[in-house]
Amino acid sequence: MSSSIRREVSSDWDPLLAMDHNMNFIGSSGFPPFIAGVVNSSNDDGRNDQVPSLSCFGLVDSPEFPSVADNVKGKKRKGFTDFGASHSRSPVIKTQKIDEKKPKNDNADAKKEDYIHVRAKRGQATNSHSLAERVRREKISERMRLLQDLVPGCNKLTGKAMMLDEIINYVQSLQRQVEFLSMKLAAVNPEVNFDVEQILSKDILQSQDGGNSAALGFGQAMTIPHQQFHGLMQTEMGICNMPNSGGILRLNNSEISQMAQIPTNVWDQDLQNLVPMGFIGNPPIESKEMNGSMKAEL
Amino acid sequence: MHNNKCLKENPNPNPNQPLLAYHFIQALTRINLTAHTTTSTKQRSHIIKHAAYVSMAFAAGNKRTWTHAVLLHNRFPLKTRFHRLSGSRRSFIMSLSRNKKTHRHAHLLRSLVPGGHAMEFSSLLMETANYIQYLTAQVRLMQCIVEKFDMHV
Repeated sequence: MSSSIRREVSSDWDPLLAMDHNMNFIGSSGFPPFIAGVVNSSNDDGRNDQVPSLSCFGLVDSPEFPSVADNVKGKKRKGFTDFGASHSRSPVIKTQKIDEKKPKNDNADAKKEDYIHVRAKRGQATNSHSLAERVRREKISERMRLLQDLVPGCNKLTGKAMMLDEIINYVQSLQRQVEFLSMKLAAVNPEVNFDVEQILSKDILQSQDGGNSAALGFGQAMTIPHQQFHGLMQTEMGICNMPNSGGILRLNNSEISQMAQIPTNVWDQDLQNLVPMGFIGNPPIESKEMNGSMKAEL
Repeated sequence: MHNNKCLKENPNPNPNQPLLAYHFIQALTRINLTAHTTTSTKQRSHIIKHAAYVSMAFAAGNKRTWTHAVLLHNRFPLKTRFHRLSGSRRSFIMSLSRNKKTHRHAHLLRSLVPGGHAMEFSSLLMETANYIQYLTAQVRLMQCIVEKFDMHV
């Protein structure tokens, strides 16, 4: 994934499945800014096992060039010019409309590879930059459509600017709501003793059942989560020492399995160590930090 | 481009509400026990807000950028975070396009969504979608809790 020598520039005759699939977005781990979609080449032979990488579409001047350009087929008049030094072979310049040269990397490889094949439509520029730009724009517009479904009241609005406005307003209002509700909870909390809260948790979850479609049958016993979250629950049990631990939090089997799927190593430690520290240790410090959005400068 | 959608069948599955409730209520009970009488209401509200975000991040799971950012912020609340993906190129480009209106939006959005500075625009949009889902779930949960308290008291 890291070796990003560009593939050969010529187009393929291949069954250019209009778009190829498997854009593996590099998700949460490390944010390589230059890779919009990751290519996993599964070339076995030694000929063309350089992995092309899609350059970051946001960076216009990147010296890496998108492998999107590789597979443009269609009404091209000229070939691509050589952009960088890291070519595996010389660029193919075509003067006719139809390319004749078949690349040496065969069709099988192209099928296995995971990058986007973009077909330049008629009348559109076939410059590799503009192709990449177009891919990026389409990706962004698709995401904006997704967001449109999430944010209420966005159906009528079209255009990136207005929708972004709306989205930003919505996120801000949600965050303000969280803050307001937490203030309310803080005011209410000291008056309510522990037992009532536990009982309430059952009610809350059941009431949310009507709201959501999640099936919330909670089964018996705190002992069940105790098995699943060893470290976590031990601290909890130590603190909570419920006289009426019996019917309070009842977890269903499905719920338990869901909760058990949390990678326990990392997250439990976090929850144990950080949350109490965060709550007890640093309230005066955090009172300054936590205004508005927590994510101010990262 | 349609293949992108086909691939991830549902890039944003609905948030796991019971998990959210579980974490948040745990946090609340812990707060109730420990920081009982000593803290003022304002401090408690900050703590509760913090707990809300952390439990949200826990419920969302490991795969999202913003959860990492929230938890990192929790762990190192002050300056010792090297979280912004630095790179002269990126900051250069961002400074160039800061005048355009869309990029003002983008900048705003990045400051809103945790961990937003370290992403490019398209992934920022994905993160925003996921974040909005979890925020709405959290708000609903908190509203339910407040309602219950109001009823009982």
